[in-house]
Amino acid sequence: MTEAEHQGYRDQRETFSMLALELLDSGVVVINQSGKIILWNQWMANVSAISGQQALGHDINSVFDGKIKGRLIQAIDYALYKQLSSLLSSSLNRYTLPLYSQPTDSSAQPAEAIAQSITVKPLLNHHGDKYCLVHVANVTDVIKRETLLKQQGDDLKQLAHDKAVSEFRSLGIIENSLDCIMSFDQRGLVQNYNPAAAQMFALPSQMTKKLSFQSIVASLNSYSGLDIVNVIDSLGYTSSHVGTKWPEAIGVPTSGDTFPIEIAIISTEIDQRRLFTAVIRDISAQKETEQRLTQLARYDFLTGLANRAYLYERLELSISRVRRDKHPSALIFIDLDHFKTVNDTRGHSAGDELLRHVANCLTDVIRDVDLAARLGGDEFAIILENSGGKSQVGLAIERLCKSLATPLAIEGEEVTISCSMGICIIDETVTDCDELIKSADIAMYQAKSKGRNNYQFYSTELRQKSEIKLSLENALREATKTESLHLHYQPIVDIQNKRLAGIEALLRWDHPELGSIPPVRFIPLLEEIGLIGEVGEWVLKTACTQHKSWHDRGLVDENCTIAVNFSAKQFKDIETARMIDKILSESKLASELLNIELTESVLMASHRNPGEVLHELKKIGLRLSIDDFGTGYSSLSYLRKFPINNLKIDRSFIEDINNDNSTKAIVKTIIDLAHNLGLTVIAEGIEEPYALNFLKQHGCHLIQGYLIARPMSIEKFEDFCRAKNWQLESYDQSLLPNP
Amino acid sequence: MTAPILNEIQLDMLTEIFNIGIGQAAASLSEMIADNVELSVPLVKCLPLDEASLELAEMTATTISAVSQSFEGEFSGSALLIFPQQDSLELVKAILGTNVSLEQLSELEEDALLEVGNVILNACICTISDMLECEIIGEIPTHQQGTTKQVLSRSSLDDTAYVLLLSMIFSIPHHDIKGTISFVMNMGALQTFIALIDRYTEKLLH
Repeated sequence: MTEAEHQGYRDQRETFSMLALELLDSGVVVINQSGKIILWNQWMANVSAISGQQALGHDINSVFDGKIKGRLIQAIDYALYKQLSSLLSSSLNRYTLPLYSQPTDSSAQPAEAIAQSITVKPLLNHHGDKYCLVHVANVTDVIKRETLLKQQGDDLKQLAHDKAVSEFRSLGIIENSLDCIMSFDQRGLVQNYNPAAAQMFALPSQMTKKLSFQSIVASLNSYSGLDIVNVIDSLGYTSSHVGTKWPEAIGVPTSGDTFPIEIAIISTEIDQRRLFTAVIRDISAQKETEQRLTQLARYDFLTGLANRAYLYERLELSISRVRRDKHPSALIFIDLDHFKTVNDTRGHSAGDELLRHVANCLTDVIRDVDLAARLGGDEFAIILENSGGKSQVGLAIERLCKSLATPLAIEGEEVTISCSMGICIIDETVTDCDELIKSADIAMYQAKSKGRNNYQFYSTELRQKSEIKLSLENALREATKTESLHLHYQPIVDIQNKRLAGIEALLRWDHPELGSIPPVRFIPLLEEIGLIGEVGEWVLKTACTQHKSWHDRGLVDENCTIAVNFSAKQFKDIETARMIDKILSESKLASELLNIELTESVLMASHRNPGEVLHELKKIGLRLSIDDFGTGYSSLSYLRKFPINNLKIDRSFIEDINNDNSTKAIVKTIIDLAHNLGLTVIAEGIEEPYALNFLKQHGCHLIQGYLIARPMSIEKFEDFCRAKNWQLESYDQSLLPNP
Repeated sequence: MTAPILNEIQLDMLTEIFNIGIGQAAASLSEMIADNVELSVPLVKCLPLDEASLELAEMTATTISAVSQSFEGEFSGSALLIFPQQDSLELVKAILGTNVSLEQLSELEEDALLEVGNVILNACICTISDMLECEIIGEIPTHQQGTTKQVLSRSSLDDTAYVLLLSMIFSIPHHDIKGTISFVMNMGALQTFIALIDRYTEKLLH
């Protein structure tokens, strides 16, 4: 190249260079050795709002009103005087120039400060003059990008971290859970399961072939997976995150036995797909505990028999079954006789042993389908399923009685037991459990009242009787208050002397609906319901008071006695004597005018000491008669032992006098015996004149019976007394003494 | 090429000059962090590049963070501010104060290091060039990371030749920072450097 060409290029370069500088997208400032700006490109003018004209020839610091930090000044010095380059970084804002992205003029509010990277370099021109070049680059975008990238980097890191954490967590929980966790899709196809599931359902640890969820679970009451399938189908239509729970289902492993399970299924949506997660828990242990609890709740601790509650449950089942298939069952109530005695005399441990023995007898006799129960105390019950009719049940009961009758040794001593049983057949007419139980109860009480150690079948008559009895009991209780209980009086006539020798007071009960109820029916009731003492006292009191009144009014003569019946139950103890004494003194009746009539059984009762009581009574001064003489435990020795005054020949003898020679002989003998012992003899139940003649002939003068008069009310009796109507006209005239 | 022998006087003078240069740098650094900077006794050695890297590694750490500023003129080489990698952040923190968050720190780390390096190394070079009355042009500093060997090889040094290693350890005790300031020069430049030292010595003694 020629020199001229070089120069030409140099000129071109210079011109171009100048242009280029103005077009650059960064700032170029050239400072001379004096520190003055000799170049200020267009970019600098744009971002600083300071034009080239304003800047040229000035110090850079003065151009920016002294806002330039020392670091830049120093860098310019270094460049100019030491030829050293400097870098002022973008991040440390202290070292930037006040430059803005859209400055309109230096006084207006700037839009955005520019982040800058400033380099300061020494510059030598071809003459060796020293200059300083300041290059300002706008790194705002770079910084923004960097910030964004960093943020994205941070986000990614967070995401990765979160994912790792959740993976870790879920991995931990699911992997280590003892419950089976399984996921399956809408068709029931299993996607995943955890190790617990593999173990529970005997599955391979890695799923190798297709597995359907429906094949490993089953509903409790059916042995197909149908119910669960239905639920899965319906879950598909519900919203996500809805769950369903089966408290009880069956797990069906691929090998081995089924086991009870609890399932919870929740449905979720992932990527618009339905996914179901099932958590399955083996509740075998729980079920076992439940069963044991039921066991405890159902069975009697002492004997191991079913308890009352369980009996009722089974009865309900029996009743419904019988109504369905019409094969009757039987309910038997069993009550041990005199158990209390054993308990009291031998102690509770002996009593317990006895109960256990009875329980064993029961369980030996019954079949598997039957049920033996202990209702409490000494009461037991048996349900005989499909027992057949009465005869078959009777056979079973015979077996049971035999077994129970075998004496057993309790704590070394032999004990024999008996029981009272009530049976009620459960047929299709039975609907109510309570009614059934009541019926068996009634039957059992019937057995008891029939003297124990027997069994009774329930019948409707029995119920009627018991109902009547119940109402009678209630009425009796009321009767003592309402005077529907009252006394009738029957005369005892001395046919020899033609006088009223004595009166027997007889208790009568007029039931408001049933009418007059004979004593033979209600006296036992009174005894049963425990009113006999109270009523007896009342009877005595009323009779004594009445008789005193009659005496006072002269309706009877001064030797006329009043007789009151006493039953065995009333002769409990010495209190009886005291009671009688008290009443006598209250009524002011002379004691020798009172006649206590006792039956032979009173004298024979083994657990009392009637002798003591009777002697007490004698001390008081009253009289004692043996009623129904000849019929009961007729041991003549008591005639020696006890202080008796009168004998009353029982009506059964009197009735047969006509017909039977031996009866005649007996009656004759009784009369003789009485006379020989110095006892008065009275004949009861005279209805015919013939009897009357016979008795008179043989020396029995005191007569009581319908021939003379029936038992009468007070009014009628008073009339009778006044009329002195001894019915003597009907007698055999030949026997009458001459008037 | 045989290692040029530096006589005792030259060695002394070199050490002295270097001392003064580094001293200036240390002073600048001290101002920046508002704390004392302690300096060790300078090391002056002539060795192959490999060994020089080993030496430097021994003085600092195997993995380093360095600010490297090349210079040229009457002699050429690189000035290096070297830290163990973990200490560089500490330095930035020390300079910027406690108001800056850790995140900001790591962002600023490189830039801050460069600036700090720039200031320190400029001070150093400046002092030396002043004393020796020679012209050196310093480049824009760069940030390097890696082993000492890697860092040195990136600087404008002839890797087959011997280098002159001038090095001093500085430490900022309260901030637990330790680093080195080093000058590494090609042997080719050494002749000129020695001549300059001689001249300086003469001036000083007369």
